Amino acid sequence: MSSSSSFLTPAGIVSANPSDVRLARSETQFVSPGNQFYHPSACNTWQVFDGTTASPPKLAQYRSPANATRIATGRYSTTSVANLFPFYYAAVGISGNNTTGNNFVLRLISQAVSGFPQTFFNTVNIAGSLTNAPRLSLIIFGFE
Amino acid sequence: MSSVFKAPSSIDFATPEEMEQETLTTVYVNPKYQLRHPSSAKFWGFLQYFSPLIFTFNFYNASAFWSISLGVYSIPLTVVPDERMAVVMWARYGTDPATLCNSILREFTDPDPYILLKTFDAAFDPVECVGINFVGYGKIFGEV
Repeated sequence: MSSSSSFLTPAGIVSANPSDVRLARSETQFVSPGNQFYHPSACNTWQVFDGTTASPPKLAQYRSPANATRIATGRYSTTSVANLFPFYYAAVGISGNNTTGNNFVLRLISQAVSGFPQTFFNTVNIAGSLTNAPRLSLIIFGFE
Repeated sequence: MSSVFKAPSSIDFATPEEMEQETLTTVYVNPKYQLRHPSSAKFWGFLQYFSPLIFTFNFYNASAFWSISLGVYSIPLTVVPDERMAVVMWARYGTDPATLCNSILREFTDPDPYILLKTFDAAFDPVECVGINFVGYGKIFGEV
């Protein structure tokens, strides 16, 4: 768990530290942009990546999630960085192909819920065959 | 309605209603009411079903869940959501890439708020999924 010291504004109002933001109960502290992501209602990280290459590059991201790994055709995994998700978490994702209009399905395969959480997922085409998708989105909620 | 803490500078903290309106730029956001901002997830969770063990983990607005029937899950909510909420879910069925897991959602707010998740296989027959992730956005009523 990371923490930072609170600072006092000229008005005497205290910035909520990460623990206070995570607890989401205080009515007398303010949430600073630097700590807002600690709130349970905020997503911890998200990314969009290109699954057609062996080392899928991120097309867009929030808070520098670890790069996804393509294990095999249409099979991917992501691993959180240390201390990012020490407890259970929720992950949602979707895939697609915005160049040909073909439908892809991003399927959750397994999800580790302790240690260094990993999410394994597959992309399959409408025939149910494993397929590398050019655009995959993953959003993760959890506690840091 | 909750009382509003008055800062020494006479700058107020945003009320839940002001958070939902998201128009003011002269009030502070506190951790308690950050949840009320439209950009905040109202609940999220990851549930696992291993018969007969049911285990779940979730953000505080979603409590325990149970399986109503094959492939149908009910997740009670501890706050009353507006009917117009967006919920995204991602279900895990198995490791066979040829077997797709589709899912649909219904939501109920009266008298006891809960969401109802259903999971289907590629033939649209209900199946028991071993892992479901879900995230919900929308407006809520009442205290949190």
